[in-house]
Amino acid sequence: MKFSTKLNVIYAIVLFSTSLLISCSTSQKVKVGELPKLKTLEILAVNDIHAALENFPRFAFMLDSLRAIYPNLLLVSAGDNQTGHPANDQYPEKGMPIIELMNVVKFDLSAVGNHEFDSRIAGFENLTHKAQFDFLCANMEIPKNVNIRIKPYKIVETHNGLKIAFVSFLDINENGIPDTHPDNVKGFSFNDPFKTAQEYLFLKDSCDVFVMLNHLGFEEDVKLAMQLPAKSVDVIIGGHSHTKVEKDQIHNGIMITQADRKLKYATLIKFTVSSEKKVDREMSLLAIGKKGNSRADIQEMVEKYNNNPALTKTIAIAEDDFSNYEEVGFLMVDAIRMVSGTDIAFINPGGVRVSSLAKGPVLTKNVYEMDPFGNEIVLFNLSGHEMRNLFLAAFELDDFLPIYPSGMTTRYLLNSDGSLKNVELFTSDGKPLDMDKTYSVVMNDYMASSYKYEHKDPGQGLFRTSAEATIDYLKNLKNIPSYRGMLRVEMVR
Amino acid sequence: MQIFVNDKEISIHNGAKVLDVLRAYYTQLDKTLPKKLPIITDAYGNSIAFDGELSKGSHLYILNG
Repeated sequence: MKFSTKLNVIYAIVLFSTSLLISCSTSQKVKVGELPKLKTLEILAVNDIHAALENFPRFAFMLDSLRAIYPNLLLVSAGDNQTGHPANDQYPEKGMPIIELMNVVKFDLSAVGNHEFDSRIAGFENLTHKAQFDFLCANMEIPKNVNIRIKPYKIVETHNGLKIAFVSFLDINENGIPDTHPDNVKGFSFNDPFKTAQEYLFLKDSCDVFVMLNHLGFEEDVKLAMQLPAKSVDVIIGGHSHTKVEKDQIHNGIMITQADRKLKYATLIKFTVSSEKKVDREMSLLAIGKKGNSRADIQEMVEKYNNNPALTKTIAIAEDDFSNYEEVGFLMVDAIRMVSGTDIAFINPGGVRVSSLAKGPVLTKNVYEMDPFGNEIVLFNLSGHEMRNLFLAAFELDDFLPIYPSGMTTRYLLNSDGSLKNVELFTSDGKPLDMDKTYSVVMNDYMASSYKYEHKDPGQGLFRTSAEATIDYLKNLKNIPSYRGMLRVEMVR
Repeated sequence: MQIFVNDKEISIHNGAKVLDVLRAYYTQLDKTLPKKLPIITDAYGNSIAFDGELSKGSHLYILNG
């Protein structure tokens, strides 16, 4: 017996003993000869994996241990398997590593999360065909020309004859789409998850256990539970809000679970179904942990993905050295403006983490070094006056450093003590900016939420990181022109 | 969208995450976000991660901020 197998067995024995203790303490008294015919079912649920490659080997080990106790365990994800790790997100077949890992550990089902669309329609379409498990979403209409493999629901029959109905609903925002860039769902339409859920209650009559595998967020799952007939659903397994549900959350007789995110935890849900179809359920949140035993073959796969040549691939050639934060910042801010197609873009000085970029090949990993925070881009419509308000509010918070602009230039007028008197705004060719005009402006989400200044538009997230936008921009640009000595910000004392 | 932090209404960009809302909340109070981030819960006492995604009208509570 291999060492890891022995550990699996020991882990399984500990888990089994614990479950025996729990079941002994809660079992009902029955007369001899009147033992009820009970059937059992176990589901292990995770959500918002977000390409957490590093945690997968430990998760796989825990999963094997549980399967040693519960050989027919169903394994489900409540969506957002994608996005969050460069090795996965920059893989030539974007998002494929996490799908391959989910295949190897034999996931049964996944909800469609908003981040499933990050690989664009063709990419997601491809991933659904490569996945050896089904994706579910019941409040989505798929365009006829898209051959994506998504079902509204699925009824799974277990080895002991139980029928489990799974149906899934995805959160839609105020714009009527999931939280993703509109281009990623072009042609798709999305229905109200709350109304649609009522239409699928018929599944209750076709199964022994009825489960909603949602990507709505915990509070939305509670709202949904309160709108459904009491006890009409046995469990809502949720995702999206990255909520750590440690204890029973029962609302309107419906249990709601969620297991944080990034494979830090998993929820084990145990069902007991009587011959009268009475369903009892209990949940426990299992920690996967930062340390511990891991499955060696999965570890090898993760190492292979981390050595992904795409990360060390040349994406563009710099025709000159970049030798200070300003020059690197101007390149980054140009990238997010060009990719977003806006009039103007800003990056805060703290958002630029390297002060040089050597002439020659620029690699994908160089961009993650410049912009390591995973900040997303936010779109605003701002007047010249509002932009000036932003500059004035930001200066002190940014340690008396100016914002890097693209599509315009600025002149900071300083008092003798270094404090800011005013900021003047100019077009790229040096003419005074029309302060009454409204401009489309992008900035990162740090800037969007950190500065206190008067503006009417609350902003719209574009659900794309500034690093990814920079990578796409540089790939298209191929040759990066010289930024040497570029002057977009003038400081006048 | 509107999000509630300790029952105070915060206006924030659509698509904002928990950390964005916290930054905006402290900014509204003329404070900076603490370096040691506080524990955040929802209205039901569950803890929420800082990269958690939000829906319009979500409620967040700062436990030790």
